[in-house]
Amino acid sequence: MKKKLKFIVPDRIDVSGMEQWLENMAAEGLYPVRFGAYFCIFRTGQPKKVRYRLEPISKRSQPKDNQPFDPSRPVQNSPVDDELMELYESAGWKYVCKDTAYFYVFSTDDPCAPEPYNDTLSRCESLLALQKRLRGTVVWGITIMALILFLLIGFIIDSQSIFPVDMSYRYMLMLIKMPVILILWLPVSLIRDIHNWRLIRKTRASLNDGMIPPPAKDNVFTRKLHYILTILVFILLVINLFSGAFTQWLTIERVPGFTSILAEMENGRADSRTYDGPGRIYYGEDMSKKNRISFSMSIWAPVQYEAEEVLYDADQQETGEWVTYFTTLDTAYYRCLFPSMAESVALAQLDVYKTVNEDWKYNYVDCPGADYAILCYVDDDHCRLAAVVNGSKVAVYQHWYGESDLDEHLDLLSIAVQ
Amino acid sequence: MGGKERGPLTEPMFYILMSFLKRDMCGIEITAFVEEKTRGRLRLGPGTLYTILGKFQEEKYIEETEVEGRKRTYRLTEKGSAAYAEELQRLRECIADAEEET
Repeated sequence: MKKKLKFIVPDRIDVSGMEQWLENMAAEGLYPVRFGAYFCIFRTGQPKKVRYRLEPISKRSQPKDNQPFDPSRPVQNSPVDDELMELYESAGWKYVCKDTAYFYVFSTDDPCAPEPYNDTLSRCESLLALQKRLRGTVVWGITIMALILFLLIGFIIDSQSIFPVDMSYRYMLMLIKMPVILILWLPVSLIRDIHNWRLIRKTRASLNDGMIPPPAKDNVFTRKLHYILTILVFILLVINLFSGAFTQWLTIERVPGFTSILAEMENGRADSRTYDGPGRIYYGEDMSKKNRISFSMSIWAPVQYEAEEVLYDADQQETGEWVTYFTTLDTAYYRCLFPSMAESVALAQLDVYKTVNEDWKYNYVDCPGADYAILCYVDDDHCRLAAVVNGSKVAVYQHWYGESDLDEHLDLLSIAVQ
Repeated sequence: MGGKERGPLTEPMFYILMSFLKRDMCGIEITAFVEEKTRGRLRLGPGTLYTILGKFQEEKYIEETEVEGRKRTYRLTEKGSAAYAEELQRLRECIADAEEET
């Protein structure tokens, strides 16, 4: 038995269009086996006149997995609710497969088998649950988009007056870190959801008026474009998330000696290292696998990276063991799209670095080579966190247990944002 | 169908309620009953029957009494009986009106 892959031409939500398309395929000797998001796998056979009908998936029509074991039940693990399956089978219809999350597909080549729906009103009623589901998806999509827009506009206009200081800045940081492709993808999928919802609403309105809606106009070009975009976005996402290769296309600004400044300043025990190339994970010249820089990008902070430093203790060099040198300096660097976003991003990243059980105090000070710095003190008056802001550039440092405090070296810290 | 205020029942709805008057029934028995009662004029489609059973259950016109294998058996509730009686009365009035005119 040969199999063939075909692009699904009609809209997935266009009931009449899908049924007609499947019937045309059967007339060419192609019988559906499985549906994907954009393609359908067919098995080949003799061309036949087959009727296909789509039954909407609803809570009621899904199989009840919690039913007690019953030996008289002829089909275990039925893909469809037993009662629905029984009714279709007794009327001469065969279950074919599921068409994504929307429909079950049934077929018959028996010309005497009754149509699954006697009237347009019951057909209209059967699609109600699907319409509600699609409406819910649209409402959620619009809510999320509105929330994102609100936060973004807040960032751009004046985040400090829109968002109260005691609000958790972490949420804003999450927004900043959202990959650009996801932000672009949200409206694309929202437009598709709205289209689906409107189409099913139109279908129901037509059925409610007693008319069987004709198949919707073919929009193969739009569907193929959507498919190509989806694949492209998916590939980019995978590359971005798992290999970091996508971000290497960007020119990352680099500050020599960026993460080893503090170590050098401390007591000279640690090797100093520099990072000299873009990449999600860069191991340094001796491949210690300890120090790393993570690059990423988002639409509102097109360049951002975090450097996590774990230094080699020179005393251990002869033994060949790599030991964590604890006076590390971790850094998050952002280049925001708008300078007005910089302060919020700095505060948000400081908030991420903060330990919750300490009492933190913020202090805004002038910073040589930058607009200003936000210093963060703990109870013992040690400056363990600092953010340096210069225009739209932000560098946030955390430095634990070192002999030096960050506020003593602002001139060095500001190098990253110059 | 679908509105909060129920209008007249459709023909399949009317016959489905009628099928429960004498005893509890499952889907296949309802189909057989309706086909026999209408002398083959109305053959209930599986989609229509399944949708209406779901709707009637939701509106508490019928309730499930037994699940045996793939069969689900239902019985008519008081609310369902009242809806059937109301529809019957409406149809009687329609027939009476029509006969008056002929």
